[in-house]
Amino acid sequence: MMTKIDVGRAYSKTPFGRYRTDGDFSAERFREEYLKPGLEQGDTLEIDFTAVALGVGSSFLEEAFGGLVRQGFAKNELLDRLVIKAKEDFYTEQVKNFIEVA
Amino acid sequence: MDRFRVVAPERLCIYEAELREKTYNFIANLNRVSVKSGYPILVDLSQVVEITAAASVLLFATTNTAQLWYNNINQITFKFPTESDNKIGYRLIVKTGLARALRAGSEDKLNELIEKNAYFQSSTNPAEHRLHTVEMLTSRKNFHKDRLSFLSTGISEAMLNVSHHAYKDPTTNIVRIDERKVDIVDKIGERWWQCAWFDSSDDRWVFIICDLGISIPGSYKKAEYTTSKAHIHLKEAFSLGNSRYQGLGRGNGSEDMKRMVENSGIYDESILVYSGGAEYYYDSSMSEPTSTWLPKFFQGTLIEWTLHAGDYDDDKN
Repeated sequence: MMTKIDVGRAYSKTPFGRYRTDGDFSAERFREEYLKPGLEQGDTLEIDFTAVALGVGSSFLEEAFGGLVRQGFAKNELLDRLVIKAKEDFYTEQVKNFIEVA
Repeated sequence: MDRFRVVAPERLCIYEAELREKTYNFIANLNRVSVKSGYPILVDLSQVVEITAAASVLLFATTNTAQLWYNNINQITFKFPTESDNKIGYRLIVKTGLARALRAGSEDKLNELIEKNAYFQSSTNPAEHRLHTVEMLTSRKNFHKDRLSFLSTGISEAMLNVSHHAYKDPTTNIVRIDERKVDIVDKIGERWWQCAWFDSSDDRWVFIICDLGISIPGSYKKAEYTTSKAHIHLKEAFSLGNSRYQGLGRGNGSEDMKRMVENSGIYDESILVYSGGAEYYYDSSMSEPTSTWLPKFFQGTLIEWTLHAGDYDDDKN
């Protein structure tokens, strides 16, 4: 079963920052309130960035996805189960890389 | 108390080596007299005939710091060029909005600059201010959707780096202000200054962000940092793409700051960084960036992009 998170519609058009102290739509909050529950719901989790209005920074992506590894999620499992959908290819590459080096 | 008079050199520029020393000496003198000694001063800019973009922002940062530090808009006053006596200086300092920014020595006045979409602005809040900045840039010229994405990401990460790293102690995992910056952060916050203006002759934006923190080389490898190695550390910090240093460190986001240059297409784009005794330069014609040691420098970081908006695309939103 695939679960989907439409970041631009469900979370924010302009997600930004690493920690909750950086703003209302931080990676930390996204990871805790969306990614982790999403991973609990289905086998595959699609994260769709296509409706986001501005570019999403490395800090956000690293904290959201690399942060999952630091919290105990297995790298291989995340690489198998996460599907990134975005207009630019580098989102997928960055997320994969952040998971691998976390 | 008598007001000190500090006369600016006729040419203020940090790009060219022969002008850099005089410019930094002037900036250091302003800082020494107005912030460290606390004397009210008059800065005489009336004879200035050249002031570059980077020097403008650095002057704004230095004088604004003194005004906010003493919570006194008159801590520094200015003598500006007049249209009748110095037409070039008048255009560079008054017509660009720099004069207005130099007089914005309070939080309220700084907020007015933001509300009025002035080219010179300052903030301590990346989450809010990045949106203001993108709005300001796109209000003048529509961006192609890809270029807007690169631009907004690069600017956002630069602002976030100020908040996360510029004034923080890099030697500990505990989040705290670096001991050398406790006073300034206490008075003015973890602040940056920026300017952006559209060069219609080349159809491009110049965007600059500047902080007065501990520098990228200083925060990247504090234990190994010496000014003589600053250029090595700065280049390393900007080359972190897929390395093991990625993650929580200072170099995170550097890829975002370079992406506009690396995906420039038909346009000439560049990024120029002055930080901790080094100059880093990368443009779209280069296969490798350069990083150069500088004998004279200011305490902090200044990043300058030149970028084209690209052809507007209706899919932008």
